[in-house]
Order: sequence, then structure tokens, then C-alpha cells
Amino acid sequence: MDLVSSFTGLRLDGRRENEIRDIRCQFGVAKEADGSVLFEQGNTKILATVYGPFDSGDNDDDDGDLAVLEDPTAIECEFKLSAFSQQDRRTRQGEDPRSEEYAEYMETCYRVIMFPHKNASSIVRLSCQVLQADGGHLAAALTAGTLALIDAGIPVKDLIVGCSATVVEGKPLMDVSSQEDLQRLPQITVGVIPRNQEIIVMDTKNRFHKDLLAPLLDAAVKGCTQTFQVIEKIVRDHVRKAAGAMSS
Amino acid sequence: MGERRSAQDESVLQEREDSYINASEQQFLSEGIIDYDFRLDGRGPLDYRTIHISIGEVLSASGSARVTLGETCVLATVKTAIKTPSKSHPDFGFIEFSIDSSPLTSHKHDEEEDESRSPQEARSILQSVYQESGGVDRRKLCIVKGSKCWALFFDLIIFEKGTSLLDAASLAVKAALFDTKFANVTVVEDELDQFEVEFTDDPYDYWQMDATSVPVVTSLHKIGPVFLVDVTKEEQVAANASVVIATNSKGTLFYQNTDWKGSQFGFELNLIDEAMETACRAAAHVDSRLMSALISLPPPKSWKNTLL
Repeated sequence: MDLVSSFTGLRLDGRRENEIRDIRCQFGVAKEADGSVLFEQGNTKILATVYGPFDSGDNDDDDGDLAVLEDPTAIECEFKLSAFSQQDRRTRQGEDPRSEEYAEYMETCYRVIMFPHKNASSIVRLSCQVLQADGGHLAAALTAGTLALIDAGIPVKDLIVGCSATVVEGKPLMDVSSQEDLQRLPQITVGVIPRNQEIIVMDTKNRFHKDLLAPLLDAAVKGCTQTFQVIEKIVRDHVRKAAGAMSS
Repeated sequence: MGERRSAQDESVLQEREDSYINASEQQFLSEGIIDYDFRLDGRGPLDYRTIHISIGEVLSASGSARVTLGETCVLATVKTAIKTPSKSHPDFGFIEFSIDSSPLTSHKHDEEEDESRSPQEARSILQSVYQESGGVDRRKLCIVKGSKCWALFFDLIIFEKGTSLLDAASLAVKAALFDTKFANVTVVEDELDQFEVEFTDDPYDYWQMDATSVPVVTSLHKIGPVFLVDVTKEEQVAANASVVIATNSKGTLFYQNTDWKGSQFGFELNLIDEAMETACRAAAHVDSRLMSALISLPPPKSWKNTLL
């Protein structure tokens, strides 16, 4: 089966090359967490939760501010792929280097948009549990994490969104689904601040020629811009509702 | 010897001080239950808190159910696979459990380890109820005796960990099993007398297991002479004994485990009978409600969407 139909030019799930999947979210699903969102992009489903800010305990040492200077993190991320989230059940749990790498990407991203001096000697914990993995997990996790931070009321400078892209027969496709992911085609995932087109993290998968990088990157960043338009509206609606509830 | 005992007494005292409610609150709670059959939230001894169940939410699993009971929230999912049965039980399928505490529960730092059962203990209890004692009829999972069988992988995620974790988990397991879709398969024998299993391409070509006689777990706590189901945190602290019982609608006992909590009030032998009786009654009630709810549930919207 062709990934892109030669007759209609449509992909297997009916999208065009430059279309992202539907995005849905539901805020405040986990009552115990300080912020949470159930984020769906197509069939990829992620539960992102934020706890904190907590006292990070760094001030217990006498070196005081030094620790803060060295590591102005203030955020700790976790990326978890559920055993049942993919076609085949994952048997080994816990020790997954890929997940740890993804968690590091997330930390890098949110460090950029958070205010370290406001969170001195405090820490925010963010975790993304993937309930359904249908391609573009990292991209979806990056977007979901931003939404969860906003739901928790953590101040951020801008929104980080993620998008993946792949290339089929020379045509770049944005927002990769699992069917496209399985083909081991060149793939790229970026975490971007869309307002100024700043790329914070970039992850490539499977080998490809360097000439393909430019069109892939272009497609992924454009995908981020599209995602951003959806996300921004969601965030504004949510914040307006939350503010309304507070004042009334 | 004397020294050891005093140290123990001290630790008991310490525990009491740290505990969730103080002595007079405990007394108030206990007297209400003993004298008036009335719990702090207005329930009777055998009333559950509101139970919310939804099935088929996880599309990547063969079956799934999310159960919310009080503040406890558990998601159970089932994945099916074809395996070769073990030599000792050639006509039995496999059932395996795993429990994962969601980030929501593992990230709570300030909260001390409470007295509710730990996830791993819950896992071993579920494993013994549904697998070892035959809570799920594993013969139904056999495809070709000695060669091919179904393996069921139950993966549970605890979204919110509260009291009655086992009760909620067992309800979720039962509902998830009810929801599980087994693909209809055809068995082909090749020249070497090896069996091959072939699947159809039709996603609607499936069968489902009859979950009616699958057991549910009831944990009872005893305050004075009264047995309570689905306790709150306060009641858990005030209780002086507890018992976990797994029964099905036919009254078959699958598992029983008494917790000796506090040495001065043991679980008197003559109370076991009464506890059983009470647990069976409570289980039968919640079980019949669950089954009627499951049968009347419409398939969720997303389920239709994926197949279109």
C-alpha cells in the first residue's frame, strides 16, 4: 500500500501532505495534580501532569545560590510509554533509553520558556504518560507538556509546540502517523517557539541524506505553526475560563 | 525481651500520633457506626461510594476500562497475543498482570506511605484471584491443545491511589475483560504437523468472553462488630481488622486474606463466617450492578470512529 495515493495525493488517513491531525484537549483531568491535560493528536493520546513548584531542597547546602546558577532547571520531566500504547505490547518497562532522551528534550524546551529566577530553589515536576502511541509521541508530548504547565499556572514566556515530519518519495509530510512511522523513513521532530520560529530541540530518526534536512525541517516548522494556531486558541479559551471562574 | 516490647509500644504510640485522625475523632466515627449503622459520609455499612465506569477508551488495547471509586481511579487494559501453552497445562491460556503507578501517584512526595496496599501487593493478589484460582476460565483461551493459546496481558495504571484500590482494580479488570475483543482465528495445519493461526482482516470479526462469573474483590474493614465495605481513609485508620475476599456471582470463593492489624484486636475465628457472608452479599450486589451497567453501556464514540 502506498503511503501517499498516486491518484488522489492523499495519505492513508485521508490527510494531505501539509495537514496535521485533529487536536483535542481536556484540562484538569487529574484532580490530585496541580495541572493536567489529556491531549489527543489524532490517535496519539497523552496524559500530561504537573506537580509543583516544590522546594527543591537545594538550599539545604551552604553553597546556596551556586546550585541554582549551575542548574537553573526548576523542572524535571518524565516520559512514559504505556505497555499497551502500541500495536505490540511492550514487555520491558522502566529501562528505556529512548524515553529518557525524550524527557531530556522536554526539560531543555521548558527551561527556555520558564523564568529560572522566579523558581529559584524550587522544582516543577512534569510527566507525560503516553496512553495511545500513534506516531509523533515526542512532538505531542512537547505540546501537551506546555499545556499542562499553563494549566498548573506556571509562568511561561511563550508556548513550545512540537511537530514531526517525514519524507515519502521526495515529498515532505508533516505530523507523522504510526503507519508512516513504521516504514523507517527519514523522520525529524522539532520543538519550536513558533512566534519567532526558534528551534529549541531537534531529533532525527533513521538515516537520510543531508539535502533532505532542509525540506524536512521546513515541513516540521510549518507543522508547528499550524499546531500553534490551534493551541493558542485552546490556551486563550482555557485561561479566560479559569480567570472567569476565579473572579466570580 | 522486656526492652523490645517497650520499644514496640513506643512505635505504636508514635504511629497513633502521626495517624490521619486523632483518638476522639476515631471514637466519634466508631460510635456512629456501632450504635447507629451510620458512617461519617452518611452511608450505611455496606454502601459503596459512587462508582464510575467507562469502557473502550484505549484504542490501542483489545479491551480497557476505567473505574473511579471515591478518589481512587484505575485504568485496566487488556492486550491479547497468541502463545504456546505450557507443558504442564496444555489446554490453558496465559494471564499476566502488571501494575504501574501513574506519575500522578508516584510524584506525591509529602504524603507518607499510607496503609492502603502497595501496587505490587495488589498485583500479586489479582494474579492469584484471576490466574491461579481460575477467576478467569483459562480453558476458554485455548485454541489448539498443546500448541496455541491466547495470552491475556492485563496492564493496570493507577491514576489516583486512594482507599479500596483492590476493589476498584478488580472491577476494572472485570469490565476490561468484558470489553476485550478476541479476533476470530482459523487454524491451519501444515505438512510438518505444525499449527498456524490465521487472522481475518475484518475488524468486526471477533468474539467476546462471558465475564458474568468472573470474581470481584471486596475488602472489608471491621469497626467494633460492624463490617464496612469501601472504607474512607478515616475509617481505614479506625478499623481494627480487615479481610480481602474474592467471590463471584455464584458464591465461589477465589481468594481470602485477613490482615491482622494491631495485636490487641485479632480477627476472631467465629467472625470469619460472618465476614464471608457479608463480603459475598456486598460482592454479589456490586457485581450484579456492574454487569447490568456494562450490558447497557453503548460502545464509546471513539471506538466507532477508528473502525470507519
